[in-house]
Amino acid sequence: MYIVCRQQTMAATTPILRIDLSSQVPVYRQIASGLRILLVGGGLPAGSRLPTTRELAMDLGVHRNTVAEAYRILADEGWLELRRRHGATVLDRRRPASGPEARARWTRRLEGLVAEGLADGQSVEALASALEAACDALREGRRLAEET
Amino acid sequence: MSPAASMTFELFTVGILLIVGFLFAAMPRLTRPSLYFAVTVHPSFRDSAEGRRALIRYRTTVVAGTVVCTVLAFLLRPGVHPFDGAGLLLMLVGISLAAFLAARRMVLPSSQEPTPQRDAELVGRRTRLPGGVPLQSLPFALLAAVAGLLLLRWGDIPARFPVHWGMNGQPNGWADRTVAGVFGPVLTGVVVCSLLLVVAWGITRWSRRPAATGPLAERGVRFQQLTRWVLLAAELFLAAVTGCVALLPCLPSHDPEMTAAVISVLTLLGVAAVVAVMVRAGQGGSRLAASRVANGAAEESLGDRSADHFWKAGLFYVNPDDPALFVEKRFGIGYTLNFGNLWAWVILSLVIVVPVAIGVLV
Repeated sequence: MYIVCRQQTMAATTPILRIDLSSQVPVYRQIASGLRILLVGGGLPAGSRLPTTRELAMDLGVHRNTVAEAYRILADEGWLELRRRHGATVLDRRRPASGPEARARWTRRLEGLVAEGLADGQSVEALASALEAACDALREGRRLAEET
Repeated sequence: MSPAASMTFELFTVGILLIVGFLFAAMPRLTRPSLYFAVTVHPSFRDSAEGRRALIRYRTTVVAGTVVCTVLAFLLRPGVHPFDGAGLLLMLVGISLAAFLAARRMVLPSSQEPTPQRDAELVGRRTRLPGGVPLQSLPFALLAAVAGLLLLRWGDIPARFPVHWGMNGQPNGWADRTVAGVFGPVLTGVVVCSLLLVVAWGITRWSRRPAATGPLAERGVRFQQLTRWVLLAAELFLAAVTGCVALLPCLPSHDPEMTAAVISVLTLLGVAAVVAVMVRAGQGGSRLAASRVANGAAEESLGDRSADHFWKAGLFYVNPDDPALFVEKRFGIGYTLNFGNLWAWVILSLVIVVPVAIGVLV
């Protein structure tokens, strides 16, 4: 369960990352997913400096390695450049060409996700609508507030 | 000792006792609504019958302890009797902490899990201290100026002179005209100011922001800033006091009793002012006016992002997995160390060892 949004704080709009420790999704995955949503949606443009793993771990009240793992996942995907003591910098990542293998992998994951939703009592229509809304928001670069 | 000076020191002791007693009595209402006697509770708990019963018992003990200590201060003439002001202060703190632990035991059965939702701003820390380098270096510049003046007036310094006074105003520490003896107070000032600067820096860099959005976030930011200003004011005050003490040997005609009395009164006023400012803000800024914080924001979450079992006796935070070095106190105003972090012990050692080393060496 995670929420990502960009909110009006005291001085200016600041990207906010939210996690839920009671969720069954591991915290490092919540952090990676939350950041990825912001990266895909343009909430964190290339060149943005993220907080250091220590700072983010302090604010979230989690272990530093948890944040480091999330940063590593995104660095492996080509989103972030990690530098010791300097936190992470968002890279100008080109969208990779989509092949049949990637599409098949995502179809399997989506099926799993839809099955989870159905098992959770959601209707097919509601899930389809939520998926469409999420895709639209990301495509348009809108601030996404997503709860899964 | 003159009657006026004696009265001043008695009033100083009584003033400190009353301030500490008031602070302890007010403390349960100064913390966030979801923290009560260092236990995470629902905000409505403190107004429940159980919550009120715990508070009444606690306050009754604290007020009784304050009255007893204050009466003893008048009867035993602090500073003259061996059972002096410091002993009375320790006694009052001991009584209050015992009352706190008893109240905490009453509240613990109503403990709740802290809110599992956490948020964080995805921007780096703004690490600028209030006033920037010019204002932060002012206490040290003041002490450097005193050191320069002492060098210039070296010939006027007597061979032996007092450097420390008890709470009765009588000198109880002496020094010779040596480099260590003359510059000891200046060195003490530098060390104490450095430690306070480390704390201010630590709160900025190594403490948790309580929230990223909403009233809690804004209050937290303002409280941190207020704490840093208070620390800077304390640095300036201590630099001024240690600087004045260092210069006293150059003023052979000064009245040590009067000097000690003036310092005592100024200390009392300074402590009272700090307490007033911090009480007005509340712990974590919890008492800051609602109209001055973010409007229409989300409700405050339960607790302070740490589970109750990490708080030993409600006073000591021990969580090796938490990278935060400074955390907001659950009972008290300001910050405490995360004793699960090795650096906390390094800082604590410095706070204890360095003053003792100076005392031994100077």
